[in-house]
Amino acid sequence: MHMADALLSPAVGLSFWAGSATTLALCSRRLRDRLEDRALPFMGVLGAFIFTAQLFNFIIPGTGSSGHLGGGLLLAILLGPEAGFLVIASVLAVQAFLFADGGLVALGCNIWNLGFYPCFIAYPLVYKPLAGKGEGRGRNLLATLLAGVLGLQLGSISVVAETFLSGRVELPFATFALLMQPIHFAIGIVEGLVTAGIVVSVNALGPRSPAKGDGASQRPRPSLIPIVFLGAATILVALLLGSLASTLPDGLEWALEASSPRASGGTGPVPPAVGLGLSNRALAGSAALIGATILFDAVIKAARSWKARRS
Amino acid sequence: MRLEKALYDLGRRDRHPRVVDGLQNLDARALVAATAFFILTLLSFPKYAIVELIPPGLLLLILASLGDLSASRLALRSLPVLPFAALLGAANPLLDQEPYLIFSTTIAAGWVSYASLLLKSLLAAAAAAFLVEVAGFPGVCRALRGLGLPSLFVASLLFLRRNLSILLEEGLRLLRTRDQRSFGRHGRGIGVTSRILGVLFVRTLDRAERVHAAMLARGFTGDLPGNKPAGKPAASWLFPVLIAAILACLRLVPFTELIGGLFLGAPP
Repeated sequence: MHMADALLSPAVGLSFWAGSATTLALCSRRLRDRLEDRALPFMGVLGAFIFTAQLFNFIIPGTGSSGHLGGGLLLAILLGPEAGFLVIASVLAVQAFLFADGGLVALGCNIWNLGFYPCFIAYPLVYKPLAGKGEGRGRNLLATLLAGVLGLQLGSISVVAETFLSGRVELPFATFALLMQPIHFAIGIVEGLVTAGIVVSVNALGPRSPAKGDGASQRPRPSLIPIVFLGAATILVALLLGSLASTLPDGLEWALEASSPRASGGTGPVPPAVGLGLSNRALAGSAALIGATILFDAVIKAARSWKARRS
Repeated sequence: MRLEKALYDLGRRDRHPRVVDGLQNLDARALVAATAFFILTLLSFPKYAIVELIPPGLLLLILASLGDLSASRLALRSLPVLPFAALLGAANPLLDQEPYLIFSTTIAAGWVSYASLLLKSLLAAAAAAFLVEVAGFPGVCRALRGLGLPSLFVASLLFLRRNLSILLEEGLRLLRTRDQRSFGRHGRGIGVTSRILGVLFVRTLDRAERVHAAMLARGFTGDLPGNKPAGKPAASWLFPVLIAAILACLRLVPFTELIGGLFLGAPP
């Protein structure tokens, strides 16, 4: 479910970055005074486990597809929603920076899709009310199952919406949603089962685990509504501004249109019978530039080896 | 062996940061800003852009060449980004049947938008790989903190990176222990594996807590010490400005057309 940079338009990518960054800032601000010292290594270890778990794909029977754990719900249950969001954001950032899994502009979308919904929607609205104080394995299992499914359903529909709004692929919204939702329903069930198992194991650590429900100090927990509202509002405002700006061509687009041979009289490289095409001049220019770059690279390498020999 | 290789690869990037002529002296914030400009410019190209993407790609190759980074290494590190983009764009050739003229042959424009999508994916991932190779992961974290991201998030990034190494080391030890105490299918069942995972968690947590305690003993306060730029500030900020100016030119001017016009003559 990791978005790639090329699937996004700059407006959508930056809007979700704004939403995720706002949510990160609010979570960090809340946690600054509440987080216990011991929680930091615990967060790091859980993040490393989630990171590793996401590398292993499991087969989804009957679909010919595979999936991996999201981990957002597990982190929200063990650390609390704010710390959980922070850790899943770190996991996704390390994946983007070190392993090219997801892109730097797409990181905002990925944090939102895999972090916001499980931590701030599925956990407080489904898991907490259903699981109560954690008595009863059956109740816990049902709560994690439903919350896991809801978190992934919202995340996957968000991927569909971001792709649709960006307009980089031709898949219609409904077709794409019909492809994504059933697969992520199955992944959600596996996520719920695995999450329930891990929560039981980690809680069995007893007093060693700093994960006592909300992971932070025992002071009353402030409401999550401001975080949810501000995060979502930032995205909506940014998207709105982006769509207003995109109704007219931006400076670059306008200049490109004006300077293109087609716009200046139709005598350019593209034959009038066909609307789109590659001109011979563009191809020749590309070949020349590639040749020049190869030459530049060879000169730099030669200079470097000459310098190494002399020293 | 795969775990050992993963651990080696992870450590190598920190043990041997790339020594890049000139670029290693830049403030990592400047590198992050330049990378962001590069990717955003890339994404702003229209969906049928192919030759237009070549000059920005070559710019990246020139920077890589200056930094003694091989193009194949950057390409290899960029490959993981391809599957999702390839999957989502696969319908383009079927759904977009507008004619597109290439080498006197007409093809469906969807093929071109698909190729453009894949090329943009590769270039964007290569730019991110370039950033990490030049600045190093701790440098990128320092830059993110310098650019205003919360200290707790940056600390969480660094802890995650450190604990990933610890997890892999402990995992390797436990795997060796299991291999020495099992034969055939004995000692390799799901029960043993789940117990090993539990032990792995506890041992990793133990070491992570010891590392954290040592950091606290040495005065760690939860934030990165000193966010001063590594090199000359003016030179550092000239770099992203220069890159942004070049990228704006490449986005504005049909560069390949102009160069090609020198060889084939200007349009009538």
